[in-house]
Parts: sequence; C-alpha cells; structure tokens
Amino acid sequence: MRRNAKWLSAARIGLYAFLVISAAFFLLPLYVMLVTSLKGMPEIREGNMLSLPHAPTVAAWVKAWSSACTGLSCNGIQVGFLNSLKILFPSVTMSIAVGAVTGYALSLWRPRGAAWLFGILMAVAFVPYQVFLFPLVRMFSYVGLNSSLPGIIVVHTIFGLPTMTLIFRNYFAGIPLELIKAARVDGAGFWRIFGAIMLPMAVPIIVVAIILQVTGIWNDFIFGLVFAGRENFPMTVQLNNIVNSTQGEREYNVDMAATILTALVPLGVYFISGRWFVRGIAAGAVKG
Amino acid sequence: MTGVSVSSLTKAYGALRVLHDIDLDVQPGEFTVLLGPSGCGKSTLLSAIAGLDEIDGGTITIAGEDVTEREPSQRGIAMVFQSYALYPTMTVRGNMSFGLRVKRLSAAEIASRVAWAADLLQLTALLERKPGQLSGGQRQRVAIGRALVQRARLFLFDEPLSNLDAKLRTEMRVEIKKLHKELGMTIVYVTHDQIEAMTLATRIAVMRGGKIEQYAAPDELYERPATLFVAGFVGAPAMNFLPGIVRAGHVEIDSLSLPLDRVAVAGPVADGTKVILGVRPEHIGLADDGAPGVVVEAATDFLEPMGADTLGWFSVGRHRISARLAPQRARSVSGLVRLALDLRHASLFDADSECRY
Amino acid sequence: MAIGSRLAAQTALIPAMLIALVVYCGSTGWTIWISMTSSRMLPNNNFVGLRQYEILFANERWQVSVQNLALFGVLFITLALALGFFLAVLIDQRVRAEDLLRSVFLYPFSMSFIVTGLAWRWLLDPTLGIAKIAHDIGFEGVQFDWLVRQDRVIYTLLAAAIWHAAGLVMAIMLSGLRGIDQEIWKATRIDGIPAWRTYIFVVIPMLKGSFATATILMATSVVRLYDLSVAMTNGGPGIASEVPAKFVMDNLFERQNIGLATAAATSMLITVVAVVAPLLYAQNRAAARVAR
Ligand SMILES: Nc1ncnc2c1ncn2[C@@H]1O[C@H](COP(=O)(O)OP(=O)(O)O)[C@@H](O)[C@H]1O
Ligand SMILES: [Mg+2]
Repeated sequence: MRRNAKWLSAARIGLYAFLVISAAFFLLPLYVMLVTSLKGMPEIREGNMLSLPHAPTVAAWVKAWSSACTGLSCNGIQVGFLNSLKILFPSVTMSIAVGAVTGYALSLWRPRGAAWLFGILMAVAFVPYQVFLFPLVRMFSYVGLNSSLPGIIVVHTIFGLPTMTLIFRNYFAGIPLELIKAARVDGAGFWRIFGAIMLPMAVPIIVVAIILQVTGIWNDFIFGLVFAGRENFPMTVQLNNIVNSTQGEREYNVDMAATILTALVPLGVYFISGRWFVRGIAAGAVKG
Repeated sequence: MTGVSVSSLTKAYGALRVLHDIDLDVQPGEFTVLLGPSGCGKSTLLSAIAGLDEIDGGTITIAGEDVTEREPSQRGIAMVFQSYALYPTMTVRGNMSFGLRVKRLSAAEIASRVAWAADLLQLTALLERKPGQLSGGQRQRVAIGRALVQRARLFLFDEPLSNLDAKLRTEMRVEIKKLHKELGMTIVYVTHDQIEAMTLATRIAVMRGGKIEQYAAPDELYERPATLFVAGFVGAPAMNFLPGIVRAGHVEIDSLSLPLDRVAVAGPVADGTKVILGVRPEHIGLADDGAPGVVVEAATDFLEPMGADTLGWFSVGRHRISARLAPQRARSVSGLVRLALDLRHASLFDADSECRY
Repeated sequence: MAIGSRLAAQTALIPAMLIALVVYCGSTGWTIWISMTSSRMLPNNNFVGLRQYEILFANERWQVSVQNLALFGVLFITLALALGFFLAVLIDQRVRAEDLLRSVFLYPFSMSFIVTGLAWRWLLDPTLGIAKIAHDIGFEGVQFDWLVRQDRVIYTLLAAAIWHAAGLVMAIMLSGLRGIDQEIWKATRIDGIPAWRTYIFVVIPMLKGSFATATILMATSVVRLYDLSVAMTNGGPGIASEVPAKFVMDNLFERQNIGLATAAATSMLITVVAVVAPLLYAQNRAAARVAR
C-alpha cells in the first residue's frame, strides 16, 4: 500500500476530482438523450437541455417504437429492430462458423496456400470497405443476392472473416500439438478433431467472437445501407432515416428515444459481458 | 506380439537433419528405451514410428508389415505423451473411450475395456471426472489407460514421467514395469533420464545428434559402453576419464603407466595410439583396505557424502578422479592416499574415434 | 499426414479462399480497373489512364475530405491515446469504484457511430443544445455553434470520436499496466524514482504493445470514418465535414460517378497499403524468425 502522507491526500483529491469530471463528460450524452426522450417538445424548446423533465412521459418512446416516420411509412423503429434481429442471428452464426473452421485449418493443419490466404485476410482488416463495395454490388446483382436478407448475411460473413479467422487461429495455435497427435493416434480425422475436441475447448473464444460479432453487426450502418435493401434496412439505417426525415417539425424527444432504443442491444451486451468485451476487442486487434 | 523394425530412417526439418540413417530392431515383448540428451531426436524417432510426422527416407515395419505409408491409427499402436494430452473437455471415461468410439466399437465392448483398464490403474472412482480435477499422477494414469484400452500391439511412451515429482515418478515407474510384465506388450519408451532407462528397459538405444550410439541391454551398456559418449552419459556418478598414450603394452597417463593386459580389450592396440581410459567410481577403492587393482598415489581433494556412500574426489597427477567409498571409512580419508584402480572393469576408448577397443 | 484429413483441411478452406480470391482480390482489381476507365453511371471498359485521378485531385470536395481526414486522424489518435492512457494511470492508483469508472468510460465504445453521432449532434445543437445553456446563464461571448461553422465542424466530430474510443484505450492500457511486474515498482521505489518518471521512462516503453494495439484499432476506424459524419453533419455545413469514405459513397450511389468514386477508393487503398505494408512486413519477418 502506498503511504497516506499529507501531500498524497491532496494529490488523491485531485485524482478523484479529475476522474469524477471525466465520468461526467462520458455520461453527459447518455443523460441528455435520456432526459430529452422523456420530455415533451414545448419543454425541450423552452427549457434547459440538462434539466430533469417536469412531467416525464414515455409518449416519445411509444412513438419512436411504433409510429415514427421514415419517408412515407410510419411504423416506427420497430421495423428496423426486427430487421436487425433477422440479420443478426444468421450473420453471427455464419461468420463465426466460417471463421472458426478457417482458423482451425490454418492453425493446426498447414494446408496448401495457408500463408498467402492468411496474408490476404490480415491485409483486408485494414483496407477501407469502399474499395470492395461497387464490384460486390455488381456481383450480388448478378447472382440475385443484392438487396436481400441472404445478401446482407453473406456480406457480414465476408467482412467478419478476417477478424474471426484471426482470433480462432490464435486461440487454436495455443493448443498443445500433442493433443492433436493423441487424437490422430485415436483415429480421429480433421472434422472429428474439430467437432469433438477443438470446439468444446473453444467455448471462451466463441463467447468472445459472439460479443464481437453481435455488437459489430448490430452497429453496422454501411453494409446495411448498401446491401440489405429497403425492405431489410437494419435499425441503424432506419434510425438515421427517422432522424433525417423531413416531414413536419423535428421531434427531438422521439429522435432521442429511437437513438437509445437502437443502442440498447449493444449496451446490454456490454454490461452483461463486462470484461470479456475488452478481451474480445483486444483479441481482434492483435494481428499476426 | 509385435516387433518393430526401423531401417535407414532419415528425417530433416528444412536444412536441419534430425535423424541420420537410423536402424532399430525391437523384438516382440521387448521394452526398448530411447535414451539421450534433450534435442537428440528421440521424440522425432518415436513420432516417425507412430506415423505422426512425415519422414524423408527409410521404412518402418510393425509386426512384419511395412507401415511406412500408413496413418497413425492404422498402425495398431497406442501412445502416451509427455504432457499427457488428455482431452480437457471430456471426462476420464470420455478420454479413454474416444478412440474406441472413433473406431466404432460396440458400446458394450467399450464399457468393458474401460472398466478393465480403470480397474487395472485404480481409476474406477475417477471415471466421471474431468482432467482438470485430477492430480498429476492421476492424469498420468489416465493417459496410460487411454493407451491400454486400445489393446494395441505396440505402446509408445514419450517422456511420460518427466512432469511428475520425484516420488511419484518412482511409483509410476514401478507401475509401468508391472504392466509390461503382466500384459507383455512391446514398448518403445523415450526418456532422457538414465535411471528410468536402466530400471525399465530390456534394451536401451542411446541416441546422440540423431544417431544411435549403442543399442544393448542395460548391463551390457553399463559395463561395456561402446562409445565415450555412452560411457559418460550412462551411470551416476559419471565414469572417470583419463587420457593417455599406448606404449609397450601400457597406457601412459602423464607419469603413470598402467598395464594394458589387465584391461579387457577386443584386440591389440598399436603403440602411439591416443586413448582414453574409463574407470567407474565403484571400481576405484583404497588399496590399504585391500581393494583390488593397480595402485596409484593420489591426493584427497574433497568428499561428497551421498547417503548410501560417499564420493571421494582425488588428484592423480593433473587429473581428478572420483571413487565410491563407504561413508564410515571415508570420514578418515585425508591427505595422500593409495588408490586401487580395478582395470578388469575399465573401458578403453580411441581418443579420435571415441569408440571402444 | 492423413490423406483424408489433408483433403478435408483443404476443403475446409474453400469458402475462405473463394472469399479471398473473388471478393478481396477480385473486387480490388475490378475497382482499380474501373478507376482507369471513363465509367460514370455504369461501368465501361473505355480506358482513360489516370484521367479520373486528375479530376479527383482537382476536386475541391475531395481535397477537403483528405485534409479533414488527415487532421482528424492525427488529432483523434493522439488525443484518444493521451486521454485513455491518463485515465488508465489514474484508475491504476487503487481508486474506489474502479469497476464503475471503467464501465462509465468504456460504454460509449459499445454503441454505433450512428448513435454516437446523433447524440452529439443533439448535444451540440446550436439553438437548443449546450449553446442554449451557455446563452441562458449569460455566456454571450462564447459561441457553441461549432457544429454549423465551416472552420470548426471537424472538431465536433473529433469530440464525438474521442468520447467513443477513449474508454477502449483506457481498457487496453489498464490491462497492460496490470500486466507489469510489481517488482518493477518495488525496484523504482527502492531507487527513489518518482512515480511520474517511472511512468514516462519505464512504464510507457513497456506498454509498447498496448499502444500498438490501440493505435491499430483507431487507425482502422479513422480510414473507415463514414457513419459518424453522416449522422452528425452529413458532410456539412457545405462540404466542411466531408471525409474520403463518404466521398466514395456519394459518388457511387448518389452522383452516379463510378469512375471518380473508384479512383477515390483506390487512392484510399494506396495510402493504407503504403502505411501498413512495411509494418506487416516487419511483423511477418519477426514472426518467421520466432517460428524458426
Ligand atoms: N517441428 C520442428 N521443426 C523444426 N525443428 C524441430 C521440430 N521438432 C523438433 N525439431 C528439432 O529436431 C531436433 C530433435 O528434436 P526432438 O526429437 O524433439 O528431440 P528430443 O525428443 O530428443 O528432445 C531438435 O534439435 C529440435 O529442435
Ligand atoms: Mg522429446
């Protein structure tokens, strides 16, 4: 323990003061969104954005959920919510499945072409998506995937591949080689070893992958915008459309309620997963 | 019953040649130990026998069949690894039955084999536990059990005891020896521990730098080491080496002159040959107590009590040699003493080729 | 090795190899090719050399985008690293409520750029946001109207981005700090080295890996910066907060100028390759040496 000398306690007061002010800065936007969403429009126009609502009302939340307008349709953000769910589950499953198998094959089996494949995957992790978008749109149109649910799912699988492969490869590379040898002496082959030995051992990294992909795919905007099609716009795209829809007066309370609703899933993942969240992001960042 | 025969085996990792033209013949029911310092290629040789690593040349025959191109699981082998390599997510039962399930044996057959092995290794109470809940010694037994249920023709062990503490190691050594005696399987066993090798093996292959230096029974290896390396590697405390030159039927070591006719050598050694005389510490005694052998004058340097006996260190000319002494007698040893070197048990090596005469 | 297993391993890689070849390599090649044609609404094969690039670099909107990204990138990475590291050091002083503070600093990172952008756009609203509060309590002189000022708007993006990412830096740094051997602290205390010196001369060099990880993460998000600009300002006022990724998107999907858009995308790619390739090469060399 550090000694509690007098000059130190002064330093500690400064330390706590800075931490508290920082915390306030980080909480401010969330607080403002929340109080705004609970106010009526007159109060927002006249009052102070920081003040608590005089008469809290969930009217804005109800409207945001079920009847806010994007362009011509007025069905609220719930449409986007459902779309995001429809995109989320298959995309997370597919991207993790492909990434896990690829990472496993790369780490433990040294197949032909492993080196260049891994090199390309790592390079792509840095490349701006804009480079791929137009050709991909054309290819998808050609095979009839454009503006469809399967299309956006495939896109999430494609662009989740580098990170998913990387974290699974790194995880599997840490597994002792003798385990594979033992399984081979036992007569197990590639898929058997994967299913019976590797996957059960990979539960922690699968959790990390799920956290990473759920937040990543839920928060995606650009792929949803380009590949999902109007019918399947995810929540983020829907939110942006609601906020920027030009009909009538801007309703800040509805906008903020819709914004919070959109943030709810990743926030939930974050608060439930705790320190795993950081582990996941860091795992995805350590290349090579 | 199954023999193994390895011939002209070579293996390289890139430019690094790890195995040089290895020949090894293991008789059915034999307990062969591959002994050598770390990095000499023991595990590589064992992996080649198992079929886990591709080899660059040579053939491997198990039970008279050429298995060089076969899968590990098609060779009729079972293997125990240094890290045990237990599947961490499976129970003890799951670990032991996995290979049998892969081979699609009937559930009844699997259950009976697991029960048999568990009983033999006192693992019955632990069958539903996961490896993480076991002690080191228990894990070791599970690894052996996983091999036993295979009813394999040939057992391969790669340093199976090196992760255990000294006491457990001794216990497991005894158990493995007992298993071999009861079940009579053929075993190839890798270790760098010469005591393990001496106590377990029917024959030991001493390896060095990817070559087999000598392949012989433990007694033979100890008493008639074929090379300087084997002589130095086997036996603790180590053999004493005295470099000298052969002149007129004597080995001249500085001012000493020891008669060559006492040393058991295969043929005549030409005059002027540089040689190294090897004498084990237990073949050196105090001449005044009636120890047999050629007598030399020596100065006492220091004494190392080792429990059952005391190792005395002496200077003979420019050389230092050790002798195994009785502890009570050693206490009174000091100053100048007369040592008796029993040359009947000594070994003579060529200084250049390091081979035994 | 098993013929069957080797075949299976090779088969298992087919999806990844297809994606790598067709999507990653194929699309990149196609994009580069289009950027050297006169394509506008539809792609054509009318080769025009570097014509599109000449147009691109003469384009004011592109120039502004590039300048914005450079300024934003440098400031964002530096400030987020500094703030994140500082917060981590403070939290590492055995403070109370550590878990609560960590959660508070990190939660913004879990949210999307769209949400982040909309939240800050409302916060900085020139009529009803912070500006109004400042106005109401009598700060007439201070103008909180950066969101609508051409010369300041990029700093509002910066504030939002730092709010979004500083907690992540904090978390990475904190786990780095926790990984430092406690004996180092004992040794420096015995030597009588003040804590701040220890941090600067001992700890920061030891956290090289953490700094690299954080920098890579942020640099990647800088190049991809798009959603934040869309949500907060939609490039405005005027073209003051345009960024390269948005330039490409607008020209691809709204202005129907595919040739120009792909030229811009290719320029982004070349920049990234120029920066990343030497790093990856060095890292691969190091990895190869370890593997040997
Ligand atoms: N996968 C490998 N790649 C390159 N060199 C290896 C590999 N495995 C072993 N070696 C080298 O081969 C030599 C023999 O290794 P090994 O058979 O494991 O030795 P031992 O089991 O006798 O300690 C060592 O020098 C080791 O460095
Ligand atoms: Mg070994």
